[in-house]
Order: sequence, then structure tokens, then C-alpha cells
Amino acid sequence: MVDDPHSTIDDNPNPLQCDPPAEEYTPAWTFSSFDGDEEDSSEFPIPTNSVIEALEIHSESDTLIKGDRPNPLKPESSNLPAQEVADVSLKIEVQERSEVMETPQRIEPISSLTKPYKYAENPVVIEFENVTKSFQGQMVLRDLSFQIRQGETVCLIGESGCGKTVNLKLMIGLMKPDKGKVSFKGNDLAKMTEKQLTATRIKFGFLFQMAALFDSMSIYDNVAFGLREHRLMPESQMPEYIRERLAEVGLPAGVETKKPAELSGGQRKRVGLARALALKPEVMLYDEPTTGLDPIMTDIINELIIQTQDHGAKSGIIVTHEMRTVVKCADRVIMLYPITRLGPRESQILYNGPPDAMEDHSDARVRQFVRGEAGERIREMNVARMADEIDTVVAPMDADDIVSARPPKY
Amino acid sequence: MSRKPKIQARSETPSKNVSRADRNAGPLNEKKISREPSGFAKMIGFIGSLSLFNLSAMRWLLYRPPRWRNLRPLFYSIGVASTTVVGMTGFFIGMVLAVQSYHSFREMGLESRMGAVINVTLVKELGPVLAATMLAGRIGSAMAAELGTMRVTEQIDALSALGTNPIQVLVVPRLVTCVLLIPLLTGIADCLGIFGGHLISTQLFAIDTYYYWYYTEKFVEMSDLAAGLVKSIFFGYSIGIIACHRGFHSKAGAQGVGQAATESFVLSFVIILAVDLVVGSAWNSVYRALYPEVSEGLI
Repeated sequence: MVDDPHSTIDDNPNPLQCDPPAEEYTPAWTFSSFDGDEEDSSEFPIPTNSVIEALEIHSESDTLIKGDRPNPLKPESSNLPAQEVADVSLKIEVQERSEVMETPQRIEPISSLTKPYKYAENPVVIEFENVTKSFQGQMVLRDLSFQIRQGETVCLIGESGCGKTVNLKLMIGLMKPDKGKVSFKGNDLAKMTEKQLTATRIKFGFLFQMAALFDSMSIYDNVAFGLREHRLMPESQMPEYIRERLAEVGLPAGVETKKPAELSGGQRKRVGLARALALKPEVMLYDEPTTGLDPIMTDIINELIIQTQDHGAKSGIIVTHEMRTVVKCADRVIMLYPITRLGPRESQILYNGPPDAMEDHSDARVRQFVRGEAGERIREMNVARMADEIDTVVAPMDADDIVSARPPKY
Repeated sequence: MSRKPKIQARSETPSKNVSRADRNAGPLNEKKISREPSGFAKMIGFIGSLSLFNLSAMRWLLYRPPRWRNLRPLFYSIGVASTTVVGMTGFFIGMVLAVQSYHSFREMGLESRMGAVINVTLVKELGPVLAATMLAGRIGSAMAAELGTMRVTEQIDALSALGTNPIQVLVVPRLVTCVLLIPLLTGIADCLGIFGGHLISTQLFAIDTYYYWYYTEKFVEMSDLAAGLVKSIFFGYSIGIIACHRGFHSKAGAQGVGQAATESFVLSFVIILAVDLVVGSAWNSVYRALYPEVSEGLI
């Protein structure tokens, strides 16, 4: 038997067998990341006597487990269910921490806990402050404010025409806001000189909706374009580096000599991703990366996005309509709504939170989008159609016309 | 328990008292103001936009001249691939000039001097203008369509996203190529035009080759050839800048790209004629000021 509670996990020769599912038990605890010297402790209640008593009870139960039955975290005693194993390991952790604020009765999955966001303490990379943007008198973004923090992958979702792609272009300085401020690491993009803007843009990777490969160039030249223009690498080292980038996105050798027109849609997207990754960006922007692709290719692109976020870019913003991409890739979701359908003082951001809480959100418009339900749009469409039909009647019809105008019965 | 949400209709249901036009206007269009500019305002806007585009191109040309890697494919597509078309144009211009002028000159008994008339007209006026017109159709429209397609398919945005300036990468190399190669192509058109005129005059109308070249040498000066070539430099720049500007400002869709190509050709043609007038007059003025004795002798 092991006396030291810490040795239970560390001594495990095959920790994967005993590890709880990652999505359920990664830093799920509201208190696990809490330090006693935090200034803002509003989310962390001061420990009470009852809490301390509860901790003691847990401590006793842990001792009982360790003393009376085989250690569940040892491989030979892994007959306990994973849930219970994890319970025990976390309880031991609780026992050791003097700054514990509360004792949960049951370990909740990360999604359903009112936990601090994993990236909440990370520095802000991109910030929108009251951004307004119009095109030919038609407002697309209105007083939009949000932040993207380092390390997180944010999905921007919303109906077509609500300004998602405009957001991406504002982030990279391809457009300037009419009002408000878009800043990258605290620097206002609108106030940057051309040189500063160029230096900033290199830190972004942009996967365009239709990949936007340069038609006149080969795949090799497309991927090498940024490297050559900014003279980041000698020409002699490029072939190997480019083949690596293409292999990274799953494209076979020999593809680099082809022209973009010779590739399929999925391959073009992957070349676009390789081109963006060649400059080793800090932030990846994906503009509808899975639009027009079959489900298999969609999943491949989703996997590549996850892989990129894990090993390459530090932050990612994905504009998409595809809920599978949202569920699979996003740490946080921001849902925008078209201005034309909003009230005068209503925020354009309907939802800003984890992807798995969207379906139960209080706003019906969020739920409808997640489920793909047209909702009131169908009724509006019918009303508009009826109005059109009424307007087309210019003279009263006689009985024969009315009979002939009726739809046939099937 | 069904999870289907209760949908509350918004206050967008049309009222019976509201006209159909108002119903269709929607909430956003309530305060919509007509922003369609007048024709004059459009023209001023176009001139301003073209001027700014031009300044930006000039700035990038001086700041970072294009690389040979970017120029090489353009030299082929604009220069080499246009040689046949331009050569054929010049050849036929020379032959047509010979055919059209022969009978008039014969009535006056001056058919032996046809060489001078054909060649002066060719090298000074018709050769550069018609070659430029042909190139505006072939190169200008193609460039406008290519850049327009790049605009529509976000390739120009991709260039910016990769930290490069699209004007520096796309416009400056095209301008340089047009300015360098269109005079060369004009020279080819002139040569083949002279050959075509000579062929018709000597072989069809049996004019003596000696007199044909004698009067050509007597009346055609290097300044005439230089005038044509200098004009062609301006023509090349005009074709390049207009084609690139129209391509960069192409509207979305196939129609937008097609419109950009058409506008490029039409505008280039008008500008070519205007530049021909302005540069031709300026050239004559400068030439007379520099060489008054030659000018008086000619007059």
C-alpha cells in the first residue's frame, strides 16, 4: 500500500489506463487554479467552517480507501471505474491544498461548472472596442466589442451577412473601422504606418474561404511566396521546408509542381493552410474553412485546425457556419446577429461562451442557430409571399378563375 | 419534453395601413439616403482615384523596383506573346496605306514619292497608335480581367495578408513591362509596316525600289521615328495604369470582371488618342524650339 497520496499517479507505469477522460477532468476545478493572493476573489467564496468540515470528511474517506482496499490508481487495482478513480485522485489533491474554497459533492464536467475560463488570464491579442463598420450606407457591425486572448481558439458564428468575414479583415487591417478601435497586442491597427502594418500582418496567417491561391503560380511558388517576398529563407533551403509544410497538411510529394486549378477544393484549402503556416504565424484566421467540402474532408480540415492550434499558431479565430467545426475546434464561441434583425439598443453579440452551452442558451435565436431551425423566418417568408400574392391581384376574379387558380389536389 | 423553443414573432409583421413599398423597405432602409453620385461626381471621383493609384504605383516603383522573378513571366505574356499580333497589324497597316495612297499619288504623278508618305505616316502616327490600340485590346483587357479575377477571388487580399503590397507586387511589374516593351513592339510594327508598304508599292504597283527608298531617306527623319517611340512609352504607361486600376476596382462576379476588361479597353483607347494629341503637339513644339532651322526648312 502507498502512504504518500502523491505517489499514486506518479508511480503508475501506464497512466493512460487510469487517467480520466481529458474533457471531463482537465482543469475543471474552480479552485485548482486559484491562488490565495488573487486580488479579485469574487468568484471564490471565503472558506467557512462547514466547508472545512467537509474537507475533513473527505480526508477521512480517502484514508479509508487507501487503508482498506487496493489503491485504485495502481495498475493492478484498476478494476474501479474511471470516474471513481478520478474522484479519489482529485480528493487527494483537495486534501493537500490549504487554499481550497469549497468542496463539490460531485465532480462536474468542465462545461457545466461555473469555472474561470482557461485562457482568462492570458494576455489579450486582439481587441475590438466599439467597432462600427458600414458598406455603402448599410451598417454591418455596430458597437462591437470583444477580445481574443493568447492561446484560445474562438469560433465566430452567425447568419450570412452578419459581418463575420468583415471582422477577420478588420483584425488583419485589410479594412478600417468607421468608428471604434481594433488593436493587436494593444496597438491600434488604424494608426499604424504601412511598414508597421506589414510587420503585423506577417504575424497572422489567413486561410481564405476559397483558399485564394495565386492561379498563375505553382503550388511551390504559392507556399514560397511569403518567404521570398520577406526574404526569410535562402532559396536553397526552401524546397525541403516547403515539402515539410505540404506534408504537414497531408499533401503528397509531387503536388508542388501542380497549378492550383489542378487541385480539388480540399487540397486547395490545405495548400492555403500550408502557405499561411509557412510564415509561422502567431494568430491563425480561418474564413469558413470547411465550406463546400464533403464531411470527410471537413473532418480532415477540422483536425488540421486543431493540430495547427496545438503545435503552431498561438491563437485562432474561425469563421464558420459548420457546427461540427465549432464543437470540435472552439474553446469559445462568439455568435453575431445581423444588425437588420436587431433592436436599436440590442448587442450584436448574442452569445459569447463555451460551445457546449449554446444549445441550452436562454436566447431562442442562439438555440435556433445551433439546431439549424429557421424559426420565425419561415413565417416572415410566408407573410411576404402572401403580401406579394395580394398585390398581384389587380381585379376581382370571377368564379371560374378562382376554381382554376386553386392548386391541384394530390 | 420537446426542446423546440417558442418563437416569438418580432414586430415586423406588415400592417394593413402601411404601403407595400414601405413594408419592403425594412427597418434598415428607413433612414436610407440616396447616395448615387451624379455623372460629373463619378468622373471627378474616377480621376481622383486614378491619380492616387498612379501616385502609389510611382512611389512603389521608386521605393522597391520589381524583381526579375516577377518581371520574367510578364515579359513573355506581354512582350513575346504579342509579337505576332503587333507585327501582323503593322504589316497590314503598311500595305493598306500603299493601296489607298497609290491612285491619288499617280493622278498627281508623284507615285515615286509614296515611300516617304507611307513611312512618315507609319513611324510617326499610325504605327504607334494602332499598335497601342491593338495592345490595349490584347494586353490591357487581359490584365484588367486577370486583376479583376484576383480581386474577386480574394487573391489581392491574400497578398496583403501575406504582408506584401498588391500595388508593388502586381501593378509595378506590369507598368514597367508595358513601358519597356510597348516601344519595342511599336518598333516591330513600324518595321513590318515599312516592309508591307514597300512590298505592295514595288511588287504590285511597280514603283522603282531606288526612288522608294530615296524619298524615304529624304523625308523621314530620326526625329519622326523618335516621336513615334516616345509616344509609345506614354501609350504603354497609360495602358498599364488604366488596366491595373480597372482590374483593382473590379466589381464582384463575372459581369464585374467583364465590365472591367471592357472599360479598360475603351478608356485606354480614348487616352491613347488624347495622349497622341498632347505628346505629338508637345514634341513638335520642343523640336521646333531646339532645331528652328530644320523646322523652317521642312515647312
